[in-house]
Amino acid sequence: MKQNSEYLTANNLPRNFEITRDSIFTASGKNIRMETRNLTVKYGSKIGIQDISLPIENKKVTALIGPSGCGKTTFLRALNRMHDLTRIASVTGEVLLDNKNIYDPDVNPVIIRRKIGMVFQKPTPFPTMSIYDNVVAGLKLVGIRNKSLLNEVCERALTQAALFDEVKDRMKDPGMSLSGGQQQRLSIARALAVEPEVLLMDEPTSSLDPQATSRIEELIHTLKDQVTIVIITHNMQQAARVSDKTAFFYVGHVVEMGETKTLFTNPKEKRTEEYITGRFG
Amino acid sequence: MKSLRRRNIRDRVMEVVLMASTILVLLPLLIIIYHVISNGISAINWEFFTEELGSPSRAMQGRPTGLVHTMIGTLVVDFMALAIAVPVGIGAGVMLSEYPDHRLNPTLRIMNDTLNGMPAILKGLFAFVLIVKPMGTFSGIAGAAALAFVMIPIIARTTESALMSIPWTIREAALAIGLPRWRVVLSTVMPAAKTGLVTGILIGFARAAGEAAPLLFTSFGNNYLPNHWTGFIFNPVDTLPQRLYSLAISPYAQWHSMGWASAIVLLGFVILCFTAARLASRQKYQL
Repeated sequence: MKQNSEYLTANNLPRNFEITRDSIFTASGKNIRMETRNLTVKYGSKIGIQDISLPIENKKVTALIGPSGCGKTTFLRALNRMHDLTRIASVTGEVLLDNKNIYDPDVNPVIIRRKIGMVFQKPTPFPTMSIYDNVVAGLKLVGIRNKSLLNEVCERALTQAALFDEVKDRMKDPGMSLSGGQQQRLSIARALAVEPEVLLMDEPTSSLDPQATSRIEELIHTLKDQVTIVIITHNMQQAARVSDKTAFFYVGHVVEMGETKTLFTNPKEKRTEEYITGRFG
Repeated sequence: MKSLRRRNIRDRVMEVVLMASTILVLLPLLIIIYHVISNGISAINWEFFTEELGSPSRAMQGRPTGLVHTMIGTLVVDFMALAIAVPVGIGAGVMLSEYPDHRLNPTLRIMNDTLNGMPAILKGLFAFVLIVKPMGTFSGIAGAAALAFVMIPIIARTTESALMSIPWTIREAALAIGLPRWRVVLSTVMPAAKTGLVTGILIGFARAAGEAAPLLFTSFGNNYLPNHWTGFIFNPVDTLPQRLYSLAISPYAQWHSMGWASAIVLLGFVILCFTAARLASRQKYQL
């Protein structure tokens, strides 16, 4: 799988690419898992994202693309209340999960984050824990002590993250002893171990080599039968390869959203076209 | 070519200046160690570690005398102080580092800095009012409380900086798998900062172990071993820094050299603590 900057253009399409049209900002089916309504995040007086209303379909991969600093990460972090920890960040508008606003005062952010997992740009194994303990941290640290259950979950999560075969004989080694790509897959396994219903991925492959990248992309393909995925990527080809829906972010707004195929082949907005063909960004 | 030679000369000069300052730092320490050892070594014998001090006549008449009650007293008072200071200090440090938004945080920071800068003797006075007065007697526990006030701000500050040195991403990763905040701190951040926490505790401990002033009117001092071990907690207790002082100002030559000997023991104890802190602070994995 190539990792260069060969951008997709109308003349340069992957095989099996067919053109469908989809109206912007509305989902094709009734199958909406999450939805944001007029979501605005400000850092002090600086606006991170403004007035974003976006549907996220169940068991589909939604890619967020756009130039650096356009608010993709800000948007993603708003989806599982990660901004709660940043004093200067203020979130207004709604984020609905199964039609319930996760910012309602009666909602416990800990429960929300159990349902909506997150994988970060850089691998973040817990430094003092073994590979095994890293994977099952989300269960063990909330009091689940059942050994056979933990073993089962550990194996399932590592297998899903395509790491099991590489680490099955060294489960007790520290998580930090793995290579960068393995650490990232470990972080993914850890996120999967708590069986999230939605998985947010913030450029999960940006620090990985092409081989590890392709393994994670395969993982995304296999996961989408079970999990709803939102992924940020700077790699247009990756967005085209892994996602069903794509949203193009630009200076805090969503310029265009639609079926990935449509967006890449027949963008409605000039800026989208300019971005995906590499004329800016 | 000329400028290169000038730069080389400047480089040499800087090197000499750095060497000189290094020596200036080491010299007082070496002189102190030399003096303490050369003056005190004559008083160190088996009895020094096994006998109580008793009255001055014991030393004058060459009867067995020593500072065993002082050494035990020091350990008891210091470790009691540690037991008080570690939970409070770590707790305050966690508050400072992990809950920067909490409305008590700014107050805590100011109070902690004030406590850190406060003269140690005032902390003794505070423990006097708080514990000695109500109890009606000087005691080891009062001394421990006074020393705890010395340790707490040091432990709180070192805990704060040890926790702050752990990347924020670790906390986010832990929150993202649905852990509550206290669990994130306890099970991911604190273990990662373990070496820093241990170092901070040892530095606070070594610092307090050398304090005499807060003990003057709290643990007060004692020439004898207590009849029962509880005497180390509820009765006046001897400690090395304070005994060093009272031996040094006594009018007896024998006690002067015992004072120097107690300085050797105290120095050894403190050096041991700092060495342990250095060893503990060796990081296994680079974050």
